[in-house]
Amino acid sequence: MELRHPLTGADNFQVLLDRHMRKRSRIGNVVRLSLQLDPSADLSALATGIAANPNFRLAVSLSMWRATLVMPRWESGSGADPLAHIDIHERCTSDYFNNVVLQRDLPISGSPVHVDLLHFANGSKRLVISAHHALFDQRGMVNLANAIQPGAPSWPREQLFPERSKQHWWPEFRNTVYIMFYMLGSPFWFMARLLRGSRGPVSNPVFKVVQLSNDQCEVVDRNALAHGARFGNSNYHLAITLKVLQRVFDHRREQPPYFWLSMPVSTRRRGSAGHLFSNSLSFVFARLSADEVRDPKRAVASIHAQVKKQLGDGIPGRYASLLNFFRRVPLWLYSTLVNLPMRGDYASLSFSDLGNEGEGIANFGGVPVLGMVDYASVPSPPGLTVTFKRNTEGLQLVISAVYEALAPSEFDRFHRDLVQRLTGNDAPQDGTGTV
Amino acid sequence: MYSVKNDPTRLANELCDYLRERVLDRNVLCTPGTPFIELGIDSMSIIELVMYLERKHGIVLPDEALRPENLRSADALARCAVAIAAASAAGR
Repeated sequence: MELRHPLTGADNFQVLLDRHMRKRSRIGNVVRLSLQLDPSADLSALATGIAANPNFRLAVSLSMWRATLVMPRWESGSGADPLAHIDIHERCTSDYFNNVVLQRDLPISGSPVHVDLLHFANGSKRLVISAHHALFDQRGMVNLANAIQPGAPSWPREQLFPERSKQHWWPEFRNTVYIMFYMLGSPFWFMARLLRGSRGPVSNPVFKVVQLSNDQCEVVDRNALAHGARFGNSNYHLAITLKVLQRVFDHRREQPPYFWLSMPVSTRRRGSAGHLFSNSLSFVFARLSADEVRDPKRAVASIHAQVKKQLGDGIPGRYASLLNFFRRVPLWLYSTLVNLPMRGDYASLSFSDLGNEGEGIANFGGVPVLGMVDYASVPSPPGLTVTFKRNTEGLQLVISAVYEALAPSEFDRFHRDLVQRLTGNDAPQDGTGTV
Repeated sequence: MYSVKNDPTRLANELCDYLRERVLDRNVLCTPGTPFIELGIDSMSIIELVMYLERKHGIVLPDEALRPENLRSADALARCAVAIAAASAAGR
């Protein structure tokens, strides 16, 4: 089946990030989904089943095609050997997992998906899907994990990609100008930056997965409510993360006046699996002063007000327009325009709250799945990525950083502080919170 | 005088219509009692619903009303909104 489909604006943005990441590190914009399999899993049978799966064969045959003044597109090739993109590792060690599997790079110009099947010395087994972020957002990764299971049917052809944007270039252009002015109004040169000094290469990222229990989660929920979080805990998670980040700067005896970040907003229709390939993301933004960050209750209120204002102003839709418009310009020009206000620094940190995982993926090819971890990519700058996700066991945090952004001792202190503050009894003492 | 602001059932149905039009996949069944979490509705979509109530009906939900039990489903949100609209009208 030959396929051709234009990149979405969000895909193209991830391509831009990939380009920036490759300038400073060995690894591009690759995301990973790790499934903890029941120890009874037969890894060889799974590998054979995945290799025969039509969706996997299609995924590994995709690549990006780009030419000047032509909309970039995804194209399927022929002849890709699916088994070349599946590895089985017997007697896998944690070193191998951290230093090889989690550092696997994938080119955007071909075979943007790879599967590792791992058998550890303690008997545990994992399946790790690595994929290029330009082709898969977080929901897309879950869809991919379901789609490539042995025996799974072909994904409906009309649902492989999202609907093409029907917006004319002129409203896209107007929204682009609106957002550019909006961004230029931000004082990026005062923004908190973890990466300092040279623009040299950065090391590979390190990851720390923290699983909070349901009991600890209840404390987090109470703290969130006491800090004024509404509509779920995301704003509280972000406020506490920024507070802990500010402590890093305090230890460095630095006092950046502003923290700035973007928060991904999924533009997928809810309630169904939707499409398999391509990103459907837009963003809202939060800009907080150092004083606001120092007081999480103020920070929660400020984030809430900013998000509400931006939703009212239609920022996610306008930003999606901007991303779509930039598909029409060469990547170098896109890069220049993005760097104009930001000087290459996109945010103080990459933050994402994936919300509630629900039941997740219960089994893979008939094998019970015992747990699931999303490993986000780590763009540097900013060099620090923090992801929250609610799952059946409680709250899962994945913290990842490059050492040029957080030194090993800072990284250890960061995740300890984060857990301590989320689960500690540090509700505001002014009596205004509702517990 | 009759108004949708006095009728939680009709307001809940209106919220479901909004979700169907703006947020949900066309094949998804949304009833007033369906928990938002089952529909995959996230915090951003709930904020949009609250803003819709402000914009369309002038019902501003105060912070203390934005509690998880009121944001569980279209029905719960509509009942909360109607109660606040009634309290606001009585106090006027």
